[in-house]
Amino acid sequence: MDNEDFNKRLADALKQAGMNKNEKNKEDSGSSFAALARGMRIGFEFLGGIVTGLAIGYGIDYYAGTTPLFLTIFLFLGFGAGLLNIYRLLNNIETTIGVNRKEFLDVTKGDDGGQ
Amino acid sequence: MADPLKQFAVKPVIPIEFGTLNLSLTNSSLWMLVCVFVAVLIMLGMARRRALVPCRTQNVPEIFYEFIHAMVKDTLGHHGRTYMPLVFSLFMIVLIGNILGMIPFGFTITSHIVVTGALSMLVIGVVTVMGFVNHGLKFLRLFAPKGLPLPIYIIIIPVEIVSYMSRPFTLALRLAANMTAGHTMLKVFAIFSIQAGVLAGLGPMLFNAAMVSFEILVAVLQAYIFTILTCMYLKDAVELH
Repeated sequence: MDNEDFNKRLADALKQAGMNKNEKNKEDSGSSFAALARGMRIGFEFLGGIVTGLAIGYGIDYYAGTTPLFLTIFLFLGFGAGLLNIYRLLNNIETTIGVNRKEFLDVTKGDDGGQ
Repeated sequence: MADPLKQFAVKPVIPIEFGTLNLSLTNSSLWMLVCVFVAVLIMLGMARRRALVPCRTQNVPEIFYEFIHAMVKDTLGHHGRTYMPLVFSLFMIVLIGNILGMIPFGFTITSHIVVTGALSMLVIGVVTVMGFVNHGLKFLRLFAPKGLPLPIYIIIIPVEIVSYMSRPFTLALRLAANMTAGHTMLKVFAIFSIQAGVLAGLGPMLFNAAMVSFEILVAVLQAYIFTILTCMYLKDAVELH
């Protein structure tokens, strides 16, 4: 009884002092680097989508000779892909494509109850 | 005035030409060789003695190894061990390539999109080939997430395909652009400080001193990003959702 009480108080005190060696603390110190990495990715994820769309569209047009058609279509698709990349990055779904259905449901469960 | 982009020029060090074929050893390929040499040297430091209580030369590569090992285990799970050599060599090459660029008179091999592009094409190639080897045609399900209304698929499948194809672009572009931008900025401020004279030049110089440490952070961070994205992309090849 006494021992249990002491352990609880010790854990509380360590937590208050920010010295507890639990996983949460360890995660905090490790995740600032990971968060920095994630932040630096966002711009390029969006840019990459648009650039890829432009490149594909221009390539198809170059060989098919239908100059503005596919460029326009793939520019919009690239825009969509860029937004999708950012959306997944920010939702912590750590793959840019191929939704991990289980994680996806976990993330969106709060919003619309999933599927 | 010195050109801040001149540092990225590829120049032949030892010209070798076979007819029309130019096989010169350029400063880029020379620093790639240095990069591989340094990587091998660092790893030999670990493998030389394999003491239970590591000395410094053993400790540093062990930190790298355990860092990448934990990353691969976390993202790829048990089956990820197969990809450990690939991911670890990529990390070491990108990291050492970035860091060697910070040495004065060094050449940043990762500032060229041709180098980072080749590395990212290797990654995407492995993901695509291993995806089809592991899952067969089911790998194409990657482009069609389950449980959406039918009309959405008309839009989502092309978008997913473009998103997949944007991977090597972003992977290569991010690394090359970050390294190029950082080194150009260092050079620009160095030029400021030379042109401004002794007293006024102190400001840009102090700024540059801070920027150098920031660039070292960027060098490590970009190597980390390249590696973790490799792991995440490989995840699709290992386990299909």
